[in-house]
Amino acid sequence: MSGFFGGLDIGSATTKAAIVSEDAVLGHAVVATGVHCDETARNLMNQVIEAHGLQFGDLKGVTTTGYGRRLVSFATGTISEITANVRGAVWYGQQGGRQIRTIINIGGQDSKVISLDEQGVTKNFSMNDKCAAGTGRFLESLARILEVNLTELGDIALEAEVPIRINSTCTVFAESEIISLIARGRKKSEIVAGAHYAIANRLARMARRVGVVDQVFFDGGPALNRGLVEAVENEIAAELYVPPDVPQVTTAVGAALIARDEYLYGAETDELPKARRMNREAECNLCP
Amino acid sequence: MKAEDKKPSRRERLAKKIKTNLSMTVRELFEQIDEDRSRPKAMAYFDSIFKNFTGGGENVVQVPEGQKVIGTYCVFVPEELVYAAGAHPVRLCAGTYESSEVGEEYLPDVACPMVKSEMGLETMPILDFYQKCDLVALPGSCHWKLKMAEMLEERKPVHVLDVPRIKERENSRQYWLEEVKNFKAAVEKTTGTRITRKTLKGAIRTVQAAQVEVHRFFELRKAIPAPILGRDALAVMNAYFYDDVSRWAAALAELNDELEQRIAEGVHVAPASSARILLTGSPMVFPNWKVPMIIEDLGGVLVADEFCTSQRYLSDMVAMDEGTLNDMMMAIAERYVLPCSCPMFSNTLERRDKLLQLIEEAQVEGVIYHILKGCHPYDIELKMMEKLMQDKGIPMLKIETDYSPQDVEQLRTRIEAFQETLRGRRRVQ
Repeated sequence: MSGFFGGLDIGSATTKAAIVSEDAVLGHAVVATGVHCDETARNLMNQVIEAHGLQFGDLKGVTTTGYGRRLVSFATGTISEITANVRGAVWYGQQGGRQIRTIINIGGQDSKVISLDEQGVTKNFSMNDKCAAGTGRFLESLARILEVNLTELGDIALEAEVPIRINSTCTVFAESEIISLIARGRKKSEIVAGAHYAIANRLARMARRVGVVDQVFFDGGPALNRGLVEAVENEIAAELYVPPDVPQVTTAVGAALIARDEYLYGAETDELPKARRMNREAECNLCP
Repeated sequence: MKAEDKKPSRRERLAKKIKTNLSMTVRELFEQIDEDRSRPKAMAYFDSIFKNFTGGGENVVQVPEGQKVIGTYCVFVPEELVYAAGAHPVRLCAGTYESSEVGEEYLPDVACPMVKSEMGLETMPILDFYQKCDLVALPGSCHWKLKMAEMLEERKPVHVLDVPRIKERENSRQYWLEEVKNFKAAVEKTTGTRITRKTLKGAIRTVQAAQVEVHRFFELRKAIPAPILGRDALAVMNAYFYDDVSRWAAALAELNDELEQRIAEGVHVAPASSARILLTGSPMVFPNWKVPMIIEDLGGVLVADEFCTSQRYLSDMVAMDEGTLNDMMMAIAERYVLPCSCPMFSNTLERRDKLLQLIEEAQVEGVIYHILKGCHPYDIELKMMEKLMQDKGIPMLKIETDYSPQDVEQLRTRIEAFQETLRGRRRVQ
């Protein structure tokens, strides 16, 4: 019987869990993070495990990542979301027969571009973690103002012939800009498409700083949005590879694979540099 | 009349509030620092300076009645001249977040946090030694510092040193020598003491003796595994700002002896697997230990730095040939400008050489380039340094931040990912 390994990606908006065996991804699930990270994570992990007829004790390791990574009491290891994302992207790239050299990720409260070398090791990365501009949060607010479902945004955007230019990517200012466009009777599809291009342009600038090399992997929840994929492809002038059906969980899968790697091949070295001081925060106060 | 009575008391209340907040910051910082049980015992001396920082502790700019205090900024004010006149130099470059809210009254938003912090301390009675200065010597290094001099002139005696930007030219050297002579005259006027050949020679020797220990210290830091954390090394160098040169040198000699013993016995602060990092860029002054604390809390170790508040401040010595006063003045002028790697100069040659040398000697695996928001000289040089590191195959992470604690979690993620990358590279190699 081979071992099983868990990965948890506790983001600001959603928590993602995945389990892998030694050679395959078995399952994954997504839920809103809510207030109690630890409880949410435990319930979600249990749900995935039980769906596969396993028990918690069958897991040989659980690696956590994301903003809440240090708040999970049953984690056996933590890893930054950059490294976990890279591991997951390289895995899904291999499954699809592609060598991934650039990753674009949009999360709930940040967005990042990572470049990899030929060995699949992080070479450079750039992150926007200072404001909600160009993140999933921006899309959420867009859907709210236009009174549409978040998952419908992509299809609405694709209906537009010419997108409207949205100048502001600041979530607060863009909101008032969009409201005034609605008031002027502009088409919903053109506004949505314009907003997607505004995000895509921001991402493209970040990507240029890091350097875009094919193949480009695109993940994070917003990668499910076809309108956004098209906008980003146009802005960075490159094809994106979105892993079929799973862009939201690639980082959680990456974390599970890291737990697996450590079990199978040992930690990086015998004597790992231990974090000198663990985080003191007793509760999760990271969510807005 | 009544309104006038009220005015100073409000300022005093504000000053007291800031001082209390600053004391809290210092205490919290030491709660974290003290958790580390692997620190060298000789750090206790340097800790005592910072723990008493706000209260004006025993080793913080303690001068006998009547001795003059001369405040300095940057790395261009020749301290030998201050010592030769029997005065006490204190470097005023500041790292206190709390005082910047006062400094913001005088400066634009985009000003660097350091100059905001300094303006707060200069204009409010928060730290005693800022009020003790009989003269403040300010080099016109960056524009913030130059304009700060003008803003301070109406409050206290200020002497500006104009540092030439193209340092290799003969006319620049002549000009700078004149500037150093002007400073000598200002010191003599403030202290009422003539600087003689004998007193200057003595002062040069005193500072050199401390610099010998500095060189020893930076050599010992390079050992694998590291015998001392980089944040402690930064604190040692920062303590020099406030302490008496000879007392500080004696404390450093003791620390160096302990480090030698540690290396011989294999005692270390970080395992060999820790990512070896060089920290450079905009200066760091206590208690702004934000970035070094994060780096080393996450298991990395700072084995070298290239800061004007650390290595750059004291590594170059005055090299005099003959013992005449004129010769010594020329040697002092050269020491403060020619080898200096400050980005305000017209070229980056010294900085490139120093960085590459440190990377090689300390076996550095990655560079973290720290930019204080609004610190334009370092920001402008970033791309050139990025290119240099890329050519040499050394990963570099840029961290742009200020003194406020609000971005700690974001920085933690970046720095953690960077360290994972460095260890990942090691495995592949």
